[in-house]
Amino acid sequence: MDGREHHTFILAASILPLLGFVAAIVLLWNSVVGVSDLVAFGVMYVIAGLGVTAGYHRLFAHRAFKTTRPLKLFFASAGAAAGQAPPLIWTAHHRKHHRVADKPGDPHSPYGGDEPGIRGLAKGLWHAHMGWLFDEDLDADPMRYCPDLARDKDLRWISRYFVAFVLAGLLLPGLIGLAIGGTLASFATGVLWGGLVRFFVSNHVTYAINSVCHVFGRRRFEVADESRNVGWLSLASFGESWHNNHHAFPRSYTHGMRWYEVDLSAQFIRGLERLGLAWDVVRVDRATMERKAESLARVGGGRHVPHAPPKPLAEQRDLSPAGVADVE
Amino acid sequence: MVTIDEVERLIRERMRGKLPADATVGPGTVLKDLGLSSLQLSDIVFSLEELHDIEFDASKAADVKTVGQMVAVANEALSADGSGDPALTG
Ligand SMILES: [Zn+2]
Ligand SMILES: [Zn+2]
Repeated sequence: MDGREHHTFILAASILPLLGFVAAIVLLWNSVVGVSDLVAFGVMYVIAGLGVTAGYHRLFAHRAFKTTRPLKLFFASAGAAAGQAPPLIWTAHHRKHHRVADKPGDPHSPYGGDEPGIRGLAKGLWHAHMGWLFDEDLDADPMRYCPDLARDKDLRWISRYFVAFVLAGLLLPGLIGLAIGGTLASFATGVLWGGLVRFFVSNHVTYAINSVCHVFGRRRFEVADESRNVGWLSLASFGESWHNNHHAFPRSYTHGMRWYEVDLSAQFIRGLERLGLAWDVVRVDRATMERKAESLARVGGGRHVPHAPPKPLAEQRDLSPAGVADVE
Repeated sequence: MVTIDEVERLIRERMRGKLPADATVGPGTVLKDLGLSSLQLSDIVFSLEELHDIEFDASKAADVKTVGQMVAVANEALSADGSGDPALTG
């Protein structure tokens, strides 16, 4: 996709699911929602959610575990079907976000503007939520931030044909609807619920990680940004909303760090590990966490803390996972 | 050897016909001016790596602005590789 196509895609990707959502509400109101619609929604929500959280985020952007090629292909295609961005673009933006979180250069910080008060806050939240996607100068630079991923032929290929994967993500729930309902109408409402409504709900949950989870919520770690842990989003976001934990330990495969911090993606990765389908899973032990929490509390955190951003991956001597330990 | 022609061929392939047939591509051509996105650019650079079985210096590759620079970075990696280009040495 070139710049203009990208802009058209972002526009379509934000307006069509919204219209679908409204249409679905009307149908819901008139109680014409079938079992097939709910199944199509549920299945697609899980596929897209795992693709973005366990795949794009933990496997690719942070290399929190290793897996087989078929599963890598599943994660990358499922993430693409979620419709947020091609894997190489998503991960480049995301690594950049961690590098300079809530400071100049962060692609989606709610603290970029200079307007004070509630208006400034609302503007910041909107920018971090989805406004940043409309920025004309937005440029991901995968060459600089994820040369390791761009070296992967499969990820390049899926990135190149991203739009086809998004369309497949609309078609598949239609087929689920057809398989269960057996009528053309069930195909159409399958596309509506499992495609557009799922697209709308699951993307806004992801967007909320960038907006809500950098403004409201509790901080366990006084890291040099404004990340927060937000409990009520944890189930829907598959654990991504334990975002302060994540900014403190970006490579950890789990973002939930207590037994009561629900993290479905982490459970999925643990399941894969038990089956022998995931290995080299990055874990942080409780003592390390507590030591870090204490030392951070001593210096104090937030976006104004002096912070030397690590070099982008391409500029580091050692591109191996050990060399990028905690920066991504 | 990686040539301007090879890079031009890759560019046209990745842009899927959006680059006018009569547009000229030379050593001084700025890649972004051709309308290549950063994603397409990384696709081309790392496809080149794979085609020639070489490894670029990632930071130099990230700084590439023109077609000529891309060819230079590729050939530098080729000669650093030591084994030479299979296309030349047979
Ligand atoms: Zn964040
Ligand atoms: Zn992250």
